[in-house]
Amino acid sequence: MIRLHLNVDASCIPLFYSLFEKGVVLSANTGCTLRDFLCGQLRLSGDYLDQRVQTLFLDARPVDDVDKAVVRDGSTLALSAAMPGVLGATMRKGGRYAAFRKGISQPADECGICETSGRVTVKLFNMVAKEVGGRLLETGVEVDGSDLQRIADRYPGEVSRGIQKGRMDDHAITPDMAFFSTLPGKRVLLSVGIAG
Amino acid sequence: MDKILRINMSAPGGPAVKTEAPGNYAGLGGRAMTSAVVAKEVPPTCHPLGDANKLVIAPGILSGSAAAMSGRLSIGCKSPLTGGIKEANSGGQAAQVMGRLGYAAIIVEGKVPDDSQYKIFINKDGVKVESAADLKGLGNYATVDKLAAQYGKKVAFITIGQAGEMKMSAASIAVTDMEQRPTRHAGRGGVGAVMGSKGLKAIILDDDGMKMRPPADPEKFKAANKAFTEGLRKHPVTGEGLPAFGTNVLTNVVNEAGAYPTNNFRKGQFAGASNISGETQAALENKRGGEGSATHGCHRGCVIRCSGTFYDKNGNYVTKQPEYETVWAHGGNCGIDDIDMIAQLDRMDDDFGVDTIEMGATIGVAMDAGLAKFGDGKAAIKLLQEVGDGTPLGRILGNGAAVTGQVFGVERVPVVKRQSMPAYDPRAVQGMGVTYATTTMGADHTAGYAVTANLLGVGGNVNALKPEGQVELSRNLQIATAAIDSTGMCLFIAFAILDQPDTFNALVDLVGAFIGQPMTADDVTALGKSVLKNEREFNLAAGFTAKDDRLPDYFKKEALAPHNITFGVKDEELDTVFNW
Ligand code: SF4
Repeated sequence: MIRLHLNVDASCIPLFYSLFEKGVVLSANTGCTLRDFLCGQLRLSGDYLDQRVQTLFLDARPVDDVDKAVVRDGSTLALSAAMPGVLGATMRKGGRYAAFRKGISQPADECGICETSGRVTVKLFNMVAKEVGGRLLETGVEVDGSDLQRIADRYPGEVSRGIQKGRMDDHAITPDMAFFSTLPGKRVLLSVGIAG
Repeated sequence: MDKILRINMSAPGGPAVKTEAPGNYAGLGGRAMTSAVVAKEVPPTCHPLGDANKLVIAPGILSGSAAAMSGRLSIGCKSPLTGGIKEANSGGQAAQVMGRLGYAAIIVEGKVPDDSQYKIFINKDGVKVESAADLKGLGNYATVDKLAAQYGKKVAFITIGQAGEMKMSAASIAVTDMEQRPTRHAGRGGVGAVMGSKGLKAIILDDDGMKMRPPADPEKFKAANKAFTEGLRKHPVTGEGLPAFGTNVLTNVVNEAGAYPTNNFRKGQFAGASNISGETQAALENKRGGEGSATHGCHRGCVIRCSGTFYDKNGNYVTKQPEYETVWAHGGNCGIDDIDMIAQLDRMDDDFGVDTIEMGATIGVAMDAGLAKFGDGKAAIKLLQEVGDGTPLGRILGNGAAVTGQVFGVERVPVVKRQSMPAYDPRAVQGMGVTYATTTMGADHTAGYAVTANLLGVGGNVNALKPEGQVELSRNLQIATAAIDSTGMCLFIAFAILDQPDTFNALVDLVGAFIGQPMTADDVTALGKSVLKNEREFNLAAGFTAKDDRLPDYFKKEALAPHNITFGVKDEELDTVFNW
């Protein structure tokens, strides 16, 4: 895995939010509840989790109780704000329409298992990506190099104007289109800071 | 809205118009109006394309007033797709204009005796019927261009494209938006074919010289409208999520849940979902820019503005922002993850005048039959072009997924009552499956869409976690939806009134202040139940039985990945949905 740090204009940060749609990998303490993971390790406030993050999936299963569901090594977690329509209502945590999807809901789990550390895939959608994504990019997330190249392909103008400088494994690099085209096939530990 | 317009297309010497008082239909709007007229006046066993069927067009009870969000238009008839009763509804400008002109309904009766075609012009001075021979064979866009040249840019149009003229069962009826483009459609159930069968190509609505409909209690109405609007603006779904990302914001979430039907309902997750998500679509639209790009309303008076405008990479207008259902139908359901191709398919659907859900599902079935490969966007465009051209293959596809599956010998055909399912797999979201199976409309997500049963007090309190909760929930949602569909309100108000009791109260006050008598939750329940009763009785008389309230067999046999789950709600449970 290569370590890549990019310094970008603040206006460029949203370009990277699409990474969270497919999911980024984080090294984390596991074997804890979703609340412990999100508030303790991702530093979401309790209010934000309870009020803003209305829809959560753990391994593709809608979660009703963040104090009961347990994050394990290899888990995939997805966070979203409240969604429209009866489907949105159905997927909401602890919602009135939970019966509509009882066949796929996350069962309550036993906490306190012996795992201590592992790797967790985190997906952030819609407003949650905007509100939480920047902070995770700052601290570092593991992504596929091909996804970074796709961003460069989609927004070549923004990438060449907005990404000021970069370092790869402690060496300075020029983060231009040619550089991004070398990334597919590589795992990248990416951190993004705002150029000051 | 104190009058009903009847147009008899069979009259000797050409269509005859008659304006009458609403009589027994007084006070009804939207779906309550269309279903009441169809249930009372259309013989249930008639041929849907015959002269006994009627096409009923009705604005909601609040349409044409200053009430926010009140511009939905209902169109009803006996459906050529399902053979049962149909209400399809649409946004666009027409409901507001029709309301201001004072019409509670336009009822189109009979059919022309030959292949002639007409247009109907309605303004403050009355109604004129004229030949539309010059519009024959034109798509909705060209039809609207020609009409605009004659009637100007300020009027609203209701039109059909080639599919409606060819009487295809997937044909929609187009309603023009604020820019006078034919982008809003009463899509489901083949209502466009019924309009085509009558020999009616276009309705032109001109409200020049007419005023907003006044409320009975202006002070209360104004205050309630303000509170209602503020409630919509402050809620995260109606004030943030929908304006920023549109309905397509659902793609990532439904896909994550494993409920996103992929490759003709073979899997519940699509690898290319993030390429066509609402987030990706909005970012692209914002980058390309242009008037009304990522946030736009489909009619004046919408404060949520879930829509947008899709331009190509050179900045040329393509279509309105494709909605979640459309992006799914032409996208994940066909394995296509190219948002520009999906937008092009949406434009073609709107131009030919076909339902995007039905066409996407049909192309998925055609791909399953081997007519094209999943993921081949160019092949999908070619298949859709056949529909517009009316080739023999196009005629098959244009009659929907059930016909296409039958012709090509495909077992996996996702329909109920011959209407295609929308974008949620009923194996993963089984409560949705209950609604698909039992609604009077054929598989339809909006049938069980709206408002919390508990808030309305519909059908008593439900313990959502009881195993049988989903049957009660589906029943209650169907009742509440039928009621909302009758007001002309956009169903997207649901979340704000679900979560914010003050917004719900503002809505109830708004309706009460407008009609001049207080509304209660019981009134809403009674209205919803009466609509469903009319519809159920029509379908029973048309020959439907409990066996029609079922999902196709394969949903009970084929497990859906990633949850590996089959549809498990028992037939006996489905049969209790309408026990109230
Ligand atoms: S919320 Fe969307 S569908 Fe509803 S009225 Fe507004 S633009 Fe139309």
